[in-house]
Amino acid sequence: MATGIPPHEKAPDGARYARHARLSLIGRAGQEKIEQSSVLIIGCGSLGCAQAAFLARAGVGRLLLADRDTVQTPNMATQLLYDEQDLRAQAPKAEAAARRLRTINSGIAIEPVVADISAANIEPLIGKADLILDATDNFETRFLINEAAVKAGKPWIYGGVLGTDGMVMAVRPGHGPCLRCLFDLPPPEGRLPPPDVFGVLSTAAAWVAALQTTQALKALACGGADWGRMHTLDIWNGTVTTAEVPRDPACPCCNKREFKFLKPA
Amino acid sequence: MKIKVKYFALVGERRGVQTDDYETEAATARQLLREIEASKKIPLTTNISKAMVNGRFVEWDEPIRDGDLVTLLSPFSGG
Repeated sequence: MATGIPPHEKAPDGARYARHARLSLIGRAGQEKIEQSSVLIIGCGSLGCAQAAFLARAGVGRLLLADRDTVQTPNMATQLLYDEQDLRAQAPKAEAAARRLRTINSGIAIEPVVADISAANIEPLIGKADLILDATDNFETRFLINEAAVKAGKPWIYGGVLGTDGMVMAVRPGHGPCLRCLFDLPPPEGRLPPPDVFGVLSTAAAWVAALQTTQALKALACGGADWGRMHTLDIWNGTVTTAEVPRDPACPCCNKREFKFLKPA
Repeated sequence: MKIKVKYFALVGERRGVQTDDYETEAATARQLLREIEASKKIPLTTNISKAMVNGRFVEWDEPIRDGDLVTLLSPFSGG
């Protein structure tokens, strides 16, 4: 696990995290692993806000929050950490999220990173984390996360949402498929509409984020997650479809270790 | 033959349904995608989307049989 996490201020009786620690699936030992862990959330939109709130309340020792954008009016319907003061100030999302999270849990380390995630800066950020949660709003960054995580051997949890539907897949490099085993290349720009054109239901984003966060907590507490299984969610109809994703023996990323997205243009 | 086709997100919204009872002579997932793409003007192509048959990811040349449930997926980019 990552070092540099400050000593955690625990309630004397361990009451703060008792609901999780009492779960047989997590237990006290699993909770302590969670508290010693470091998680990088890339994107502080609808997915990232919900993930960060869940993880801060779960007591993850260090949260790194990366986003380049500021809080804007259309964000208010789906991005749960921001208030109207953040909106008036057009605050950087990573900083506004960090401020709110510190009011939720002052005993963990929270580091905002106001930056455009690119090939130039992603590897040092991933180096600080035990696990990466995808909360980006574009496929180019997801392919970048995939390559950097595979290269570093770090687990990451893919999640995407559109309309009332979502997808989640946990990737553990070397032990199952990566994103490029499933989708060879990102869709060409403009081919598929982004959420600001197509729309997104806040509850669909929260559901996707909840499943991603659950996968993260399982990985941190027990080392297990649903590695390589794609969950496809349709919240309007209340259905989830799960399918094994086969590992591509010719995958350029996790098999041949060709990292084309990590190479700066 | 009669199959069911399940759509997500963009395609489902354009079709106005999540699951279609669909009659086709397409022999493979690839032929089915081309047929639906042409007739319904959906923006899926084999290089940016995936197919599942009866809950299992398949290659595009996977045969389709009467009664199958075929799911067509595009990657979801939103966050």
